[in-house]
Amino acid sequence: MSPMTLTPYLWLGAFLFTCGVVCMATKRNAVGVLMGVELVLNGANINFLAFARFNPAFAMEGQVFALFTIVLAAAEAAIALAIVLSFYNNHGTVDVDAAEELRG
Amino acid sequence: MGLFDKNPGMLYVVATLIPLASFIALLTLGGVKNLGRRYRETGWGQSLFWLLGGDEPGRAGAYLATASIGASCVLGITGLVMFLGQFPVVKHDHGHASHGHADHKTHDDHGKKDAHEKKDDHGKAPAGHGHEQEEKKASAKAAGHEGTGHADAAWTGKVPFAVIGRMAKDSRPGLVMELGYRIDHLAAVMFAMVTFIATLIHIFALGYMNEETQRMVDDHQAHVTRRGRYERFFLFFSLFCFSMLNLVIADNLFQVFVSWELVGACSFGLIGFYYERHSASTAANKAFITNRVGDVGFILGLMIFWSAAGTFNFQELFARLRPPTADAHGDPLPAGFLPGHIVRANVAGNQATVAENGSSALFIPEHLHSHDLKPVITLDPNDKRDFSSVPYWLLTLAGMGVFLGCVGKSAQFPLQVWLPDAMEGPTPVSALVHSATMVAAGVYLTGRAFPLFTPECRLAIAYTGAITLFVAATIAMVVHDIKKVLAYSTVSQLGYMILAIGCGAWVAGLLHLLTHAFFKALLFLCSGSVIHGCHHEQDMRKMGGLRLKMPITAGTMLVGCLAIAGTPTFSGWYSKDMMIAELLAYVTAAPGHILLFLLPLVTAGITCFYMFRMWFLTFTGTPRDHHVYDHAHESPRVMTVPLVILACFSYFVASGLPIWDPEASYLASILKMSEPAAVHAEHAWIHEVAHNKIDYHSIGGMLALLAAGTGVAFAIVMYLRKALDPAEAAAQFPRVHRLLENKWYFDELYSALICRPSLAVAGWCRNFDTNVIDRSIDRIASAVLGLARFGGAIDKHVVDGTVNVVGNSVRGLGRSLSAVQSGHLRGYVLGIVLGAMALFALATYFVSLAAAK
Repeated sequence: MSPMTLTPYLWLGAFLFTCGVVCMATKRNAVGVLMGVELVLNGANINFLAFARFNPAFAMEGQVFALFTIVLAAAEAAIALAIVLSFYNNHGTVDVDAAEELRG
Repeated sequence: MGLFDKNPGMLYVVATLIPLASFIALLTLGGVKNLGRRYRETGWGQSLFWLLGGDEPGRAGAYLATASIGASCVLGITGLVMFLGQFPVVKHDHGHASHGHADHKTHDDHGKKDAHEKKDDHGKAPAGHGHEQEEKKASAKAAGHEGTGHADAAWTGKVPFAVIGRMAKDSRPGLVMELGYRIDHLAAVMFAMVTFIATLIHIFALGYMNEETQRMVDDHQAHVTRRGRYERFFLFFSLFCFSMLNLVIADNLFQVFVSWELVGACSFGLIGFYYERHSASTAANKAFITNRVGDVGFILGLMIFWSAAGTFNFQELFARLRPPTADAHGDPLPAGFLPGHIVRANVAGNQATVAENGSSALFIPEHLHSHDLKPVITLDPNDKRDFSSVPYWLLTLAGMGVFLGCVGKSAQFPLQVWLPDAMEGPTPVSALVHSATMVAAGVYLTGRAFPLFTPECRLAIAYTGAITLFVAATIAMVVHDIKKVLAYSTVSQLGYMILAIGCGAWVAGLLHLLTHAFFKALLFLCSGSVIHGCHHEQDMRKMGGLRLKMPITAGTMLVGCLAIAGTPTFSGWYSKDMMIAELLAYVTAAPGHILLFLLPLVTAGITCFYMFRMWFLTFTGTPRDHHVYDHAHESPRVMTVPLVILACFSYFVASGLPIWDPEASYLASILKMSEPAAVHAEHAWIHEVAHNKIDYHSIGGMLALLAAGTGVAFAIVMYLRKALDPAEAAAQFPRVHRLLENKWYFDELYSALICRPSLAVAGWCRNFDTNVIDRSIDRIASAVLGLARFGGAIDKHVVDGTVNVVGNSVRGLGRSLSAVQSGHLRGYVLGIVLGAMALFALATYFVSLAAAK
């Protein structure tokens, strides 16, 4: 086998990002949207790690950034779930299509 | 009083101004009262109004007017006495040592005058009869009676008040307008007569106009109830008296004209006194307009005299038009210049050749010297001697113009139509204005301006008078209204006066003026008394037998009728006899004008007929309307006393001694002192010719008495004895009777000739105004309106439309943009993502660009 290049990892990262964006954009369930958000963050994470592995100048920073991102994702997920809960309290459903009050 | 000693003529000025002051007082007080009527409820207005007499018409004004004219009368009579004292009547006119060429502004050359009376070779009346004695008398008479020479500076005065224009080549003023007075015998007597009669009529009117003192008066003819107008009557009366007196003492034509118009205006106000009556206001209009037609001629005359002679002053005009016997330096006139005659010349270029039938008349300069008077004279405007000429026909026209004014004022043919209608005014008005004074003004002016009339003009004057006297007398025969009889009688008698003056019987005409004033005023006041006593019944067909109920009125009216008929020893006899005699002399000397004698003779008979017809119908016989007869009563003393006084004057005013001599009238001899020299100069030959043929005095007198007797006889037969039936007489001559009843169809003629064309023209103008002018203005207005609407449409659709389009498009844009805010969460997310990706792409692009550089 040829040695591993960077490109497949970037493709993976992009694919996960895209899946995450599509999930955010198309899911009706609010928790589904959050799952998409997680996917987006994980895609970015893979990007970070890929560049850490293949760029020796960036080895340590890359991994630290990945850990940060995980922590931030967790915190953000907690807050987002709190928002979804509040949303459920107000609308009685977690269907994001119900959030139409700001229509112009 | 010192003023009056030095200048006794001022007495007359004061006497003229007193009625003016009365008028102004009545006008202001009446005007204040009228204006204050609205405020009479409150405060100051109330006390002022009460002070001025309150709501009722007061008598104070009338008493003021009567007192003022009474004062004028006293002053007038005093003036007459003083004047006669200074210039007493001289029967045969030699040796008027005190007067001479008083025509000239510079004075009388007393001494030289006497010397030349004896000299007498030139300047005779062209009679060619060789009586030296008579010629001397004739020329002395001419010398003595120049212009109206008996006055001097004490009895004249003038005040220039305007200067108009300038003579062409030098600095002499063009026309100096003056207010002036000149008292001579005629003016003094006329003044006394006017003021005396006016005073009596004022007193009469105090009683006659009594019903105007009520607060509200019912007018039965106009079916209206109106306020009483006592003060208004005396207001107009005062103004009238002032204007008439001003006319009498005036010394220039312009002042006469001003007074002329003023008396016309007062007459208008007085005839239209009961102005709610349509007939009265129409009659007032008719009087004023007819007078105005005459005034056109008067103004024409004024214009010609000004432009030809440069002056309006009577004395100056006379002096310039007719040379005196001798010139200013006492030398007699050379051959070709006949004293007292208009100088005829042929003018070619600037040379005038004296010729008997020349086409121009020469104006003689004022201070001429007889050696200036040559057969050929140079008319050089730079020449200080100031000869000038005027075409003869123009001079005749000027005289005719002035006479036309007199025709209008004195109601002569063809302008006589206004006087009978003027009887719509109250009777004192008819007595004062339309019998004794205003209509006499025309005759007075004709007499005064006698030297201004050329012989052709005088012939026209004579014929006008003759026609008038006949036409009016015939109409008077058939009228039924007592006042209309007297109106036509007035017109006829004025015709007599005008005829007399036109034929050269100057003294006779003016004597008749004075006597007529008295007996006509008497007759009118008597008729007023009858009307008052019969409660405003004027139709003689409803009267009869009134002499038992109103004896004083009947008696005084009989005196008046006898006077107008020319009964011997009454005042009318003197004047009528003199007139008929002079007319007979004229016709004897000029037989072609026989009509000028026959008409007045026949009319004398007709006059007696209609006057006695009137008296018999009113006062004798059985009463024809018992209602009127039962309620008839004699008038109160305030009305009958003036009647009696006037009756005495109607008998005595012209008397003289011996009483059976018709030529012995004292009044006539006073008037003779004022006779213009022109009268004698132009008509002396008549007396010469006639005197040689017949004794015209006695024959004329007899013929006059015969005519009068015939007329009275007819009247007695038809109306007293009732032997002939007037209705049958009328039926015998139906066409003539119809002509007379319709007043010779003059009103219809004027209506067709003048009124209807005027109304037609007025109708055309009205149609033009309505259809052409108004319509074009309407069209312009609608065009403007259309334009305005078009502008409005542009504003609404174009301007507003633009603004609306802008606004709508902005709103549309906003609406479409607000669709972006759909509230759809997933769409927002997609938007964020796509936007972020786009930003990244752009950033990468730009970075690569920068790296590539």
